[in-house]
Order: sequence, then C-alpha cells, then structure tokens
Amino acid sequence: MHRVVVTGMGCVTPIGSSVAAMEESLAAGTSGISAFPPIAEAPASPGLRFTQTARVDGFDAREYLSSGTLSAADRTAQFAIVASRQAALQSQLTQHHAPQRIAVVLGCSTGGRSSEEAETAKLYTRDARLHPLSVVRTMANAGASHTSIDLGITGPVFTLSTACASGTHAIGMAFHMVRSGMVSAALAGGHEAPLTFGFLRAWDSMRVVSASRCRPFAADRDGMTLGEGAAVLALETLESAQARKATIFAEVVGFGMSADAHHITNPAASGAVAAIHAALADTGLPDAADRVGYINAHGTGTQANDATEATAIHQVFAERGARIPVSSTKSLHGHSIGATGAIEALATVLSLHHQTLPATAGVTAVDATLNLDVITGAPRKAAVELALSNSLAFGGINAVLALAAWRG
Amino acid sequence: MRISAVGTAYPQYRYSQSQISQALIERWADKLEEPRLLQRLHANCGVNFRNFVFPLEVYPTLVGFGPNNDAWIKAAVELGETAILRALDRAGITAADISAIFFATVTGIASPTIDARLINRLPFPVNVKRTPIFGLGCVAGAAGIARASDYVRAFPKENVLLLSVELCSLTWQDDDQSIANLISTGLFADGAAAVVISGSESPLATRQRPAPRILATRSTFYRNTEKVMGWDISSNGFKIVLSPDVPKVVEENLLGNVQGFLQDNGLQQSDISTYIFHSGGPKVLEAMEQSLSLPPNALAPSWKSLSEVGNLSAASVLAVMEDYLEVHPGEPGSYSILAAMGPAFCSELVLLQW
Amino acid sequence: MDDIAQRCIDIIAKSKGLDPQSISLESSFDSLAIDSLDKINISFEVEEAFNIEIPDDALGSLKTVGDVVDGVRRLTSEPTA
Repeated sequence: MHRVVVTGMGCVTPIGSSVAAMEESLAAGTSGISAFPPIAEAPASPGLRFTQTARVDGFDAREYLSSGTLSAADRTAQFAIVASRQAALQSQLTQHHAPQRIAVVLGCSTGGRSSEEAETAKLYTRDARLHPLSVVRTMANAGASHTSIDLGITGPVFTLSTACASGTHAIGMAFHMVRSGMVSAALAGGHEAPLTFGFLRAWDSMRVVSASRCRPFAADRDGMTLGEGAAVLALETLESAQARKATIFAEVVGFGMSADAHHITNPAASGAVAAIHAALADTGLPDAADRVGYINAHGTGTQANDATEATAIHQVFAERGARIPVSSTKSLHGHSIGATGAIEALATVLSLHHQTLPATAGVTAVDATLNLDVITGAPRKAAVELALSNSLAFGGINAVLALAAWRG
Repeated sequence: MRISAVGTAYPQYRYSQSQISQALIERWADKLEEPRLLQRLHANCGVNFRNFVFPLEVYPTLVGFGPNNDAWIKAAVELGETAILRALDRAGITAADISAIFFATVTGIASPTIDARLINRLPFPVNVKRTPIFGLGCVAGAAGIARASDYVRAFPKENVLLLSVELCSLTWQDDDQSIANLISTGLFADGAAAVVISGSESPLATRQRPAPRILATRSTFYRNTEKVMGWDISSNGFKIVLSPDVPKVVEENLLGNVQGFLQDNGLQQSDISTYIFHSGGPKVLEAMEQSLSLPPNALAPSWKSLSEVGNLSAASVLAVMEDYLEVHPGEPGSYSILAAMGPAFCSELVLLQW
Repeated sequence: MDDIAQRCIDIIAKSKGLDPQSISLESSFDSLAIDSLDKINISFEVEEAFNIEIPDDALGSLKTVGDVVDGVRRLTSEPTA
C-alpha cells in the first residue's frame, strides 16, 4: 500500500481556465453563473424556464490544440486535454514516471454532446452526410484517449460514467490504483460540455433547474444551475513525490462508493451515509470522523438533494454534524455533471492547501431546518486536517473522497 | 547503404512573403531607413511562402538570446518528433530499430541536445549512439547523410537516423538592419527533416519502395573563406554573416568538385539524371545551374521548395530529397547527385543510384 | 485562379486556421502542416462544398493542394451514376 498525494492540478471552469484563476474566484466569491446568450440552434423562443448557466467563456481551443485535434475533439475532450496538460505541467508527472506506469482516469457523463446533437440534427432535418470524425467526437472516452495521446501516457486509460459523480469516481478509482501499486501515478478528474439546446431542454423538462440561479442550502432554494468544464488532479505515490521533492498540495486518504438502490431520481440518505462511512473507513484512521473539518457538499440547490445530504451528514457525524463547516461551490461554477465532482475535489484540495474554506454564494438565508454550518458570505479561515468531497448522482450512485491537508 | 525514407515537418503558422515583409516593416518602423529596400530584397528571394513556429506578432515579444533559445528548444523537440515519426512510418520501422542518431542544427543550442530530449519521448534503444552536430549550417543536410552513411558502412546491419531541425525565425535580430540581415529575414524559414539511412544488410535494404543507394560521398573544404557565411555571436544571439560572394564561390568550385567526384567514381556528368540540390536562394541555384550547364527545370524541385517553404538551412536539401522519393523517384539504375554548400565555405556531394 | 481552386484553398485555409494568401496550388500537405485528422476533415468539407464523394483509394494519393483541385475537377465533370 502506498500513500497517495496530489502534486498537480488543472482546470477549465466557468470561474477560471487555470488553477490560479479558479483560486482567485473562490477567494473573491466570483460566480461564473450568468444569463446565457441566444442559442444558435434554438427558435427565438427556446422554451426554457431558466435563463442562467455557468459557461466557460473565452476558451479558444485553437490556442492549445492543433487543427487536426480540433476537428477530432468535441468541446468536452478539448477541456479534458487542456486541464490534463495543466496538471501534468505543474506536477511534471510525465518526466518522472514511465509512461506505462501512469494512468488516465476521467469521468464524463454525456460524451461529445454538442457534436452528437449537431450531426444528428443535420441527419434528421436534411438527410445530410455525417462528418467522418463523428464517432470519435462523440465517444465518451475521447477525453481520456486524447489526453493519453497528447501526453504520451501508455498505462491504463479509461473513462467512467456515473452521471454527477463521474469525476469523483474517477479520482477515487485512480487513487486506489496508485495506492495498490498498479500504477505509480495518475491523471484523474472529469470533463463535461453539456450546454446544448437538447440537453438544456431535457433538464428543463425535469423541472429541477433554478429559474434564477442555484442557492444551495438556502431557505428559498429552487433548483440547480447547469455548467460545463473540467478539472484534473495529478496523483502519485508519496515516495515518488518526496524523492523528487515535488510540491504536495494534499493527500488523498480515502474513497467510498455506494448505491441507494432506491429510485432513479430521488436520493435516499442511506446511500450517502454508506458512501461517507466507506470513505472514512478507507482512510484506515479509527477516529477519521472526528477529524473531518470541512465538507464540500454535493449541494446542488434542489430541495431533495440538499435535504437528503443534510440528513446523511447528521446521521454520520451525530452531534458534530451541525458544527462541521459545509459549502457548495456549485453556487460558483454550476453543476457540470461529469466534471463537477472533479472541480469540487480540486476546490477541496485548494481549501486544505490554503486552510481557507470557500463560501456558498448567493445565499441570503440558510435553510435553518437543515441544521448545518453552511459557509456563506466570505471564505472562512480554518485549521482543517481532513475534508470530504461528496457526489450524490442521479441513478442513486454515490461517491465520497476523503482528502487530508499535507503538512510536510 | 540506402536512403530508406525522408520525413519533413513544418510548423503550423504559414505566411505569404508579402505578409512577412509587411510585418517586419511594421516591427522595424523606427529602424528602417528605406522600407522599400526590405520589400525589394524580400521579393527577390524566390520565396513565396514560409512557415514559422510562432505567429508573426509573437516574435517581438521574444527579446534576447535566452527567451529565443528557450522557445527554440521547445519547438525543436516538437517539430523534430513529428519529422522523425513521419520518416520512421514511411520506412516501416520504429524508433526501437534505430542504432544511431545524427542531429544537425545551426539555429539554436541545447545541452542535453534535442536528440537526447527526443530519446525521452520516443522508444529509441538506450544504447543508441548520439552525434549532435552544430555549425555546419546549410551543408549539414548533405554532410549528415554522408556521415550517417560512413556509420552504416561500418555497421551494415543497422539503421540510423539523421535529424535536422532549423528554426531560423528565432535568430532574427532586431538591431541589425544590414543588407545581409534583410536578405536573411527574407530567405530563411523554419522546418525539420528526418532521414532513415540503412546499411546494406539491414532488412530495409530489400524492400520494394524507392530507396536510392548511397554510392559515394565527397567533402570539399574551401580554404580561407571564413567570412563568406556564418554567425557572429552577440549577446542577443546569432547575427547573420552572409557575403554577396556566395554565388561566386559556387561558380568557382562546384563544377570542379562534381567532375572530380564523378571521375573518381568512373562516371561523367552525362550519367547523372537528377540533381538534388540545397535550395540556398535564387542566386545560388542560378550559379549551380550555370556552372554545371544544366538544362532548364533541372533544379525545379529545389526552386519549388524555395518558393513554397523558403531556405530551411540543413533541412532544405532533405526536403527536396523527400520530394524526389515521394513524388518523382528516379528510374531504377539512374544516378543522382545530392549536394549542399555551407559555412566554412565548403561543399558536400553524395552520389546516389536509384 | 478559378472558382474551384479558390474554394478549395478557402476550405483548407479555414480548416487549418491559415490565411488563404499563404496557400498555393503547389503547397504540399506537409508544408501546410496537414495531419491525418486534418486530411479527414478537409476531405469532408470538400465533399460537402462540391457535393461529391471522394473515393477511398484517392484519399491516400492527395499530397498537394493542386491534387485536391484536380480531384474535384474530375469528380464534378463526370456524370454521376
């Protein structure tokens, strides 16, 4: 068994297309949520009950990728390549680990959604020929595959798909792969670019999207806000990081998974409880629950999620449940489905590294019935040893990461 | 021993000659006494297009030798890798099949050299023998083939790689408005070429693809011509030395060199069906045509390369070689001379049989 | 330069993010840094623009811009079966 540490980070998010930019937004509470511009493919009245999304604006993939890669890679894979490259650059992973000893594990829920919709629309409306790169643009594993090609990584490379928990599952699986010695390092995270007309309409018809913007844990919360982006962590064994004197940003100490086996959309607290317990047990620390000083919640801002998540926190932590600081950074970067867990894990790593916990934006009055210490207003300084990052996905699939501050 | 494959690689930013001239006129707005002189010199270079590793607007932000050379290292590794992969692919082998690398450049410096950095990226054997060559300049394309063929003569079962990466755009000097630099900024460009050279007993020697045999090579040094071409090194990097005498040196020496070389190999000029010459520039190509009394269009591939991608220093003759291999290979049994000249001044001739 | 040639150059320029001025009929795919993925994309865009179908075995022999233009001329002049 190896200890596993984070030595690099990368991201393309609505609150910054670099870790430095995202750090700044988290510190300042700058939200990436805003009214979306007219949708080219949609009729003048797009038939949506919401007006806001969290978009990655000003991302010009041509700055990073060759024209050939651009024509083969959907926006979601472009995010993955760029975020992975940042993480690899910061960690210098590929210079210090043999290519076959590095894994790439990425989460992605919807694949090359915009390519899929654009090509299918052409086919259905005018029986047009389809682009010969349609298949590789739309396959869900494109982000992981492009990353392996881009960085010359030849170890285990795969994509997993667990809706809103994909990014968390990916980091958790990669953590276990490095911990077991299957590989010596990994790039792990999630990426998603789902803000297409068809996807927005599909979510709209579920009636879980906020008419204004998501306000997790607020008394007047009315739903989630959809987003897009990617985040990738560079993981490696503690031995290799120390041997090469790499900067360590945090340690990954535990990972737990569970399924509610209950309902395809309605969450059950029992599943979240099981995942948190599993993550805490996975740390191997008998008093892990007592050491948790921050929870980066799934916190979508829907009535059902936030209430269920609060119940789960109380069940696991008993009387401490009301005192552990909780925030949902989705209020800043939106809910980017397969990417969101990775973006939140990145935010959690940064919280531990700086010992500063990000605030939940846009909340004027916390829902008192939840009985949680929700961080609102400004980020909070705190001495935190252990933090959790929760992901509770549609389909009743749960994944929880336990991360520890590095005091090297 | 044979030239089994050539692969070139050009960077992604490509401009017409007039766009480049205009950008330099704007960049040197307060330095050029006569912008039309730059325009005229550039228009007379025989160059219509060139590729560069950066967009034109980025170059003014790279100030001083350090930043330029750092950029050179990064771009040289990328471009070199692409050229190598293309050549290996055409030869049907992988980096693991290569036993020696000759790396030639004159436009940037690095230690570890670019070939070493590429060994960390491609599966070359750890016992691969490295010979980095700096300073031969334009002659290094032909001289590299010659030195690589010397190697496989000693180790006939092996395959070796010649890599030339030249990023001339990263040597442009802002404080030099001499005629030599105006011509240099109009003529030279960025590119890379890799050549797979196989020994006579290499498995590649029996393949069906066109792969001319290297029959003989000849180096000739022209004494006391140090000032004809080269670099002066300043704190800002490489400053071009380019004498108007280059065509004259070619006219005085080339015919004698070629005749002597052919005679020693039992051939005469009428036996040579094609001339694969370094695209040095219009005056040099004209001097080559005149001194060897070549028919019109004899050097068409060299002129075309000059027009399409500019003078790539050592990589140019290799790019012309690629054109012959891929587009119009010689008739089986026919002879070619591959030749380049460069700083010293000197020439290198390679006798090929298809 | 005629319309077919100019349209081909424009398609290649757009696909590669280049200025059409920097491309001639003699420009090789290598000199335009066209890789295998670019080639697929450009072939598709050319097929779309001229409503033709480039035969599979012709794709491999395309080496210069002029080759593309010649191919388009052949395919647009032949009556389709």
